[in-house]
Amino acid sequence: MVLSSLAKYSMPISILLFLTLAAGATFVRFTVQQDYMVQYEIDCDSSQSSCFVGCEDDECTETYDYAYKFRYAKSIFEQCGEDITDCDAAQTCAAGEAKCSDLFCDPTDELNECSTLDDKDSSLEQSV
Amino acid sequence: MICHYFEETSYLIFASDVPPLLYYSHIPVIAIALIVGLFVFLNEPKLKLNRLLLTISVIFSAWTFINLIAWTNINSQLLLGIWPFFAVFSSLLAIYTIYFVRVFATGKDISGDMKWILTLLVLPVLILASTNLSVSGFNISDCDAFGFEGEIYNLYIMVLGVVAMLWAAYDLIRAYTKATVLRKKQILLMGIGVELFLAMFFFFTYIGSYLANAGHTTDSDIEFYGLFGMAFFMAIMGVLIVKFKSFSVGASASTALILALLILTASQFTYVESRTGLGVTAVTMVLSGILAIVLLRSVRKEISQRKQLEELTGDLGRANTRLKELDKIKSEFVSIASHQLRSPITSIRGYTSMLLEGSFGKFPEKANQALGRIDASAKHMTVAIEDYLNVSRIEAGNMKYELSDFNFKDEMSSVCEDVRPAALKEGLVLLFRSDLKGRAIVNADLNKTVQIAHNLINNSVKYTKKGSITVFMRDDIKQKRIYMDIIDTGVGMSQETLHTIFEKFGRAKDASKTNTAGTGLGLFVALKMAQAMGGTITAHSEGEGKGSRFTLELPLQM
Repeated sequence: MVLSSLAKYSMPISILLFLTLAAGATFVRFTVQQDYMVQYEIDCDSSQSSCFVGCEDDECTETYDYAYKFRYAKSIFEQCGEDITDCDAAQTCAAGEAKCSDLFCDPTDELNECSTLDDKDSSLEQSV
Repeated sequence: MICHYFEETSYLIFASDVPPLLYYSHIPVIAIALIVGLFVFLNEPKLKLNRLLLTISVIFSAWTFINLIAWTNINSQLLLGIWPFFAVFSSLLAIYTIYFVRVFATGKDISGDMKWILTLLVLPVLILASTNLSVSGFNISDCDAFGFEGEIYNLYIMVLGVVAMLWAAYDLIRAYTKATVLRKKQILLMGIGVELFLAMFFFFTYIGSYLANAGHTTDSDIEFYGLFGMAFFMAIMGVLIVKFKSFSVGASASTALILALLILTASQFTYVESRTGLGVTAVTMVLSGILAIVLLRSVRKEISQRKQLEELTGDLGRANTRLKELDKIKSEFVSIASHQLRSPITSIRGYTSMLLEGSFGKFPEKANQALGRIDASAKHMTVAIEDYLNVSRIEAGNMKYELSDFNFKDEMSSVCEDVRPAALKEGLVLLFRSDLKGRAIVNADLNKTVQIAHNLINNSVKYTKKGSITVFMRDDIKQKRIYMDIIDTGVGMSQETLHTIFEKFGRAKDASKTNTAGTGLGLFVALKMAQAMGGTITAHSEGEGKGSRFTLELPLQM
């Protein structure tokens, strides 16, 4: 009786089982272990690097230069906590930190608007 | 991690810095999907199709709800926690739509093998949901994970969507070719609803994700338009529910559903603030209103028809009960009266016979003629009483049959011999012919078979003024049946008479002119007896004045 019911509802049971496992695994990975990369804007000196240009307001009357930083979520969380707004440590990679890199603007990519400086090549510089 | 460029959310889904179309495209669509899904399910929870529609509604609502959370929340852990489930719910939506359409098209549940195939299609998505193949990171600046989505994983979801569209189209086209005209309309509507829903949902969500992934857009608000496919799908479901009674939902309940959906659309005026939102809501209200008027008219018409039908059914039921009572009383009366009449008639016939034979001395010629008329009338009366008693027995289920094996041909030949003098007296020729391939042995009640044959042949004699009556025996060894055709050149019957000839008192319109003594019960009794012995009697005539053919059919004993 129980077996026949199991066979009859094998499809929803299997799906629910795997759905629960997927939810559990996702929770553990992203919330408990914080095992993911984060990407965020960092200050960029347009005299040193090719920077992305961002708008301060909707009309884009004022602009600012920025680059992207990629870091492992757990590392930056340990340094800055939930909010990285006023965290200076978020701007740089820690010594010996793996999975930490910066992304600068690529002027050859038509989609990007880069800060206009001489002989600036787009580069992805891997910090140590 | 907090997306510091964006504002805090209140009550999980409310934020001020979101596109104006966000709430309009999400909240009403979730409500419509859940209302229709739950409504259909609660009306007939045991119906597989209803359960599947609810499943689709819940999965779609779950997708839309987490999408709303993704648009309004700024916590990366929460957002990454739900991000893989866009793909999970999309794939579930694809396989359950295939399942739903197959059940709709065939009217039955899918096989166990097909269930496994569908489960296997969705398993990779579930298993890989929490891995880097699904999503590997989060962009705090844009507050999304588009740049970290796995391309192969996304492509697989899109392929599942296309597979669902093709599979559903195949099932519906196959069902369409075999369907009736009314069913074809339902299949066509379902096809338009499902295909448009899948196309809009998968195309817009994938395109939204692709454009954001490729950096062409910072937001994927193009996906909002994909959600309206569900509203359209549910509107089609509404038409199927109201107009075609799909999902076994009642008419009055459908009215409630339409009103609920209208109130829901109208309720958006209370929270939509932008000019675009108000404009779109107003247009939707007008369109929904027109649709509601059409649907409500159809419902009202159906309710009135149903009421009339219920009243008529009630009247018919009462009349039928009364008729049954009267029929029972009549049968009891006929039975009692017939028994009461049989004894005096037997006595009359006995004494008349003795008087005619001269047991009480010789009578003058005129007196003998009178006695002859009394004897003939008493004979007719005996036959009539026997018919009434037979009808009473048949209706009360008291008719007894003593089955035995006998030669049908020999017995029918004897009956012909018995009836021949009466036929000759009327100037008719009675012929007996046979074309039998077997031994003509039947297992039936001999007396009743003879009684049926007498009835049929005597009828032919009575209703044939000149010409002949041919009794023809034939058999069908393969079918194990034997037939006796009684073909006459008599008065014949109209098509109208042929339809009523075997009913109680079902005599032909002018039958009394030819045969005044008939009760209109003989054929009814003969047919019931033949049927009780596994046979039947059929009648055929080209029309009035063109003769007739009665066929007694019985099973052969091999």
